[in-house]
Amino acid sequence: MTAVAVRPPWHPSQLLVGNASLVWLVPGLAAVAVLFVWPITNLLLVSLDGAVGTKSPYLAVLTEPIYLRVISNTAVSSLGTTIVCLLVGYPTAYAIHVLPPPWRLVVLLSVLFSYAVGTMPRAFSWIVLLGDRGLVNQALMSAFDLREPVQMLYNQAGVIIGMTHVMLPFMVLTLLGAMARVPDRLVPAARTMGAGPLRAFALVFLPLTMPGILAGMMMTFIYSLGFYVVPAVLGGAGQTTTVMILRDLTVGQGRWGIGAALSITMIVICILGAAVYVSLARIGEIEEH
Amino acid sequence: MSLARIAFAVVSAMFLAWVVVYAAAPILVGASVSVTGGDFLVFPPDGFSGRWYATIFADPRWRSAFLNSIVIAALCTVVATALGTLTAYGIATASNRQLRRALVVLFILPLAVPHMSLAMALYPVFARLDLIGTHLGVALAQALYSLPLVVLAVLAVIRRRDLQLERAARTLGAGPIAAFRFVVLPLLSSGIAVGAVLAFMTSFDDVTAPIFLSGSTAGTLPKAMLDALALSGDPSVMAASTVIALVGLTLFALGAALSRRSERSKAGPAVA
Repeated sequence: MTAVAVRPPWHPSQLLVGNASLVWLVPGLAAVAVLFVWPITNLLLVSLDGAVGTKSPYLAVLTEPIYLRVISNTAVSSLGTTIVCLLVGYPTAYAIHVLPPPWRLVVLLSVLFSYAVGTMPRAFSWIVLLGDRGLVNQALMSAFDLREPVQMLYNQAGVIIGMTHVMLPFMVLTLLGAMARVPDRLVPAARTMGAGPLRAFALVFLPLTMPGILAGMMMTFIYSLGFYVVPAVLGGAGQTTTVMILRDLTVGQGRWGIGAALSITMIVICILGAAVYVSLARIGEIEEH
Repeated sequence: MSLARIAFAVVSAMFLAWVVVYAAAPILVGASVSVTGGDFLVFPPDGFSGRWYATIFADPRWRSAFLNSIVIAALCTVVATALGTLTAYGIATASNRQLRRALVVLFILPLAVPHMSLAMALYPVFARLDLIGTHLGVALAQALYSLPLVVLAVLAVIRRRDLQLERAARTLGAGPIAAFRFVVLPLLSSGIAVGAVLAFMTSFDDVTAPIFLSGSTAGTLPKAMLDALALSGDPSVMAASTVIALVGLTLFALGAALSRRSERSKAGPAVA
């Protein structure tokens, strides 16, 4: 009794701070319970429950060619985007990393500019650029004297170009984080010891940014899996991805078992991928003071 | 040596130009088509006219989509910002390190899940709660997408602030709510503002929640763009697209300005 009264009230004791914090968390936890945990649990139950005939929906997904087709479309566009994003993103991030400040700002701003305009405008802009009479085709046809336009819209190429454009800022920022963590003096040290610029880059700088490369690829891949607007606008009938059939399948045709199985599979893949990303990009450091 | 230097400079200049062009030019080309006088989505635009803007602001379907977008984005921003701020503060002041870590993971998790799957998972729940086709339903789904962004934005500012001030206020006699309202909120205001900007941008650009949850009554601008592209494919979609892009850019500039201001006043706000 007396011991409690003697303790100064401003002492950062568990009593004052520890318990009070739980009260602040109540609204957020309630929202996540109602808007996230409940719906996902419900979906999981539906996917385990809703047999299609005698088959589990997970088996049905793996045995029916339509779903396999859609899944492979998703995998191809996501992998393609991941690879192109890395090939474009690494030199971009490196340029931002080594450039003098005013130029660095220009490149960084142009990348952030494309993020700020949002996904819808970017996807729609590529229709104008990639069409048969689009800007890119006009340039290609006059430069190479082509008779026929190159088909870039309503196929996989259009989807990957559009998705790369959307994902590039995330790739670049992840890579920049990794590059900033490379100790300043290591590359000059390698140069002093006789390595040429390419050798120093390939044997010292590149390996040190490998966690960032893997993290950026992982992030691009899992985000690309869930893309809707870009494949819907720039892809053709052959590029239908998993998330594009979900609405027709469930609200349209009432096949919730299949829809739930597809969704749960994607969610599990994405959460596992995100866990890898977090450990690679060291996001956990965010809460360490 | 000097030749290599020059070659390097030329190559980097070309590369720079390419990055700037690749990142920004598509948007500018798209925006230029929104002021075309013609009927097709082609570049260069066919003359100059504001007719497609007149279309999207006069046509009742575009106009209601626009209004729905604004109402929904505002609702989403209020809900996500309020919840995210309280949550970030709760996480930061939790006593136990493991608990803090677990909470961060829990609240960031929706960021990793495909939005379309989340919207789909919400459909049966919202059908039971009678939220399908309402502004609130769409806004709540988008608030779920935005919540991690607000939490991260506010946590980032908390890391740079001295929360001992809250304890000082408590010592001087402020209750927990008064201390939060008059000390903590002003301290975190820049992070909260950035979070709000991100929430608004997320909602304004999102099409997954409207696809599943908007019914026929709460369709937003992005949804109307997809419908119009499938139906007519005329340049009105580029006018709508440009409106979304301008809103995004304005908000982004605002967010950047606010977080810069907070960087400059690292010690704390001028208020106090």
